[in-house]
Parts: sequence; C-alpha cells; structure tokens
Amino acid sequence: MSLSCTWHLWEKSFRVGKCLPAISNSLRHYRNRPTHNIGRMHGLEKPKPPPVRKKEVGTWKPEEYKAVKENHLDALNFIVSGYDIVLVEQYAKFVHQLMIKFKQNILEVYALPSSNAVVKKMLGADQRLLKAMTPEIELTMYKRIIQVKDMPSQTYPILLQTLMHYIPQSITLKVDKHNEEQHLSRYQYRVELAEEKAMLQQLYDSR
Amino acid sequence: MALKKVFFSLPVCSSRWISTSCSRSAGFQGSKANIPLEMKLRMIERKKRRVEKLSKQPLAFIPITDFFIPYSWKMDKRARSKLEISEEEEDKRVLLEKEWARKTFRSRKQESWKIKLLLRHQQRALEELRQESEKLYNAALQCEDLSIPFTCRGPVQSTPLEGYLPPLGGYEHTDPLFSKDDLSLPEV
Repeated sequence: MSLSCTWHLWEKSFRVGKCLPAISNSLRHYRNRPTHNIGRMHGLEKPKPPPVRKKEVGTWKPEEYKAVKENHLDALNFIVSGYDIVLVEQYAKFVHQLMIKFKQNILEVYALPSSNAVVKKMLGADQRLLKAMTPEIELTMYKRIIQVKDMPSQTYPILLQTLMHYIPQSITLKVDKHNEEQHLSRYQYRVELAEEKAMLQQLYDSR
Repeated sequence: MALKKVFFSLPVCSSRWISTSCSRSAGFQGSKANIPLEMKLRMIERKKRRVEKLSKQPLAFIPITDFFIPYSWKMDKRARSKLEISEEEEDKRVLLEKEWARKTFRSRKQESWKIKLLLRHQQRALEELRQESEKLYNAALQCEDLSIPFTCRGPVQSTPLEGYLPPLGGYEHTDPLFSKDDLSLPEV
C-alpha cells in the first residue's frame, strides 16, 4: 500500500462516517515475506550448545578449566560442607548469588555424594575397638560445590572476605583448584575395569 | 534321529535346556605358574583390548541421596496439630517480620555499597600503581600469592563447658555409596 493510497482512505472514512478506518498503518508487517520480523529484538533464543555425547560423559578435559585471560584464576571449587543440610543449602545459595552479583563465569553448581559419620560410644571394657563400640547416632555430611572460572585475581580476596563474614555455624567453606581427582569423585567406581587392570598388571609382572 | 523327533514335538521353550557338554571358551585350565611366553603375550593382548573396551564406557554419576525420605514416613498420616494464635499475637508477629525485613534490607544495602566502594578504591589504587611502574602493577595482579587451598570454619553455637568429661568413644567415617569396591571382603 502506498502512502497516497492510505491518505485517500483516511480522507474518505472521515468524510463518510467521521471514524477511523479499520485498516491501520500496515506498511511494515509482510508476514508472508522473508523479511518478516526484521527489526525484532525481544523473545530471541540463545544458540544451545551441542548435547554431550554419551561416550564423553565423565572424561577429564583440562582445557575447559583453564583461565582464558591473563592474571585470571583457573576453575575454582567453592565447597560448602556441613552436617546441617538446611544451612549448607542456604549458604551454597548465598555463595551462588554472590558470584552472580559479581558477574563471575559460573561453570556449574552441583552436589557431591554425601558420606556418613557414625558417632560411637564405648559402653564396656570389651568394646575397646572402634568396630565393637555401640553406635549412637549417624550424621551425614552434605556437600555443595560452586565452580567458578576466570575470576580476576583482585576480586578473589574481596569475595573471600564477604564469604568469611557470612559463614553460618558448623559450616566449612573450602576453596580449591579443580583437578582430576575432584572431577572423578562424582562418578561411580568401576569395579570390573579395576579388576581387569589388576589382572593385566599381574600378567606384566609375571613375564 | 528318533530323539530329535521327540525333542521337536515336546511343547517346551528352548531357554530351559542346559548343555552339559564342554564349552569352547572355558579358558586356560592348567596351572598359571609355567605358561609359554607366546601364550602369555596373547593373554596380555586380550586383556589390553578388554581394558580399552571397558574404559571407553561412559562414567555413571553417583546418585545424590540427600533428599531420600524413609518409606515409613510416607505411609502414616503425619500432620502437626493446628496452633491457635490470637489476633494480637498474629499482628505482633507480622509487625516483627516487617521490622526484620527493613533491618536486613538496610544492612544488605550498606554491605553492597561497602563492597562497591572497596572495588572502586582497589581499581583506583591499581591505576595509580600502573602510572608509577608497570612492573609493580604486573606483580600486583599475579595469581601465585593468593591463598588458594583455603578453608574457613563457621562459628560453633556454644562454648565448651567447664569440667565436662566427654564419654569414651569414637567416630567412624564411611565413604559415599558406589565410590569404592564394596564387594571386597572386610578386614578381620
């Protein structure tokens, strides 16, 4: 529709019925054309990364955890651990929110499998060994990890200060570099593979 | 031939038949002390291939059992009795919550402002240092002197009691599920 055409429509509608025409300024829609939505900025989707292949689940890739820029730290693990799950979760949430506020590159936030601590009491003289003592209570140690990469070395002490200020009771915060051992502690122990490797080692030794 | 006919006529599924004849893949049945070198090398090759095949399998996550609820808790109808609070008490509680919200908001705002100030001062100090000498500026940004294996423990709720004798005992720590070989026999 040309500009002159719309102007005629407006004039006619005002002269005839003193009302606005039903057709609005529809010069820019072109829904059937390839240029549709040309200036659109809202509702855009980020390109999704390719899904992890089944074979590569659990493989250790050290390049992913190295700092990209100079004077920036490699992948750090902020490990929040304690016996009270409520406090652990709340503090882990606090640490995560703080990282977001400081605009850090958060790689992953995950939980490590929990381990038990059995508190045992010695009730008699025959219970001298730890195994023989009577168990009183079983406490589970919960752990949450916030993995952060490319942290500038000057913001690290400031972040630590704030975290130290807010740490709740009975919680331990540990900051460590991410390495293969910590990476593999999330995964199950492969019994068959270990047995086969032991047998192979035996064959090598017996040569 | 007659036996074969009998077998085919019987209405029995094939998976129930167990063969008692010797199998091809029984393995080396002799003593493993004196094996010829060739055989050993072949065995080593086979083991290597088996290890490679197993190590290509994807790793499985250890399941997180933090929020597993005992089944018995789900079966009974467990519910707390309803507390009856007077209107006055309820109003008091609501007003207290609002007071707390105001206080925390103010303190959080102050703390975020302090952090921003700290960062600003730090940035300015680094800029000044850079103008003084490039070498010192680079040394200040190094990642080596930072306390990277860092531990911090939260406070304890109560101080230790005076003259308290704790009972004799100990702590036994167990590893997480599936993180080690549970099938091996325990120490006697």
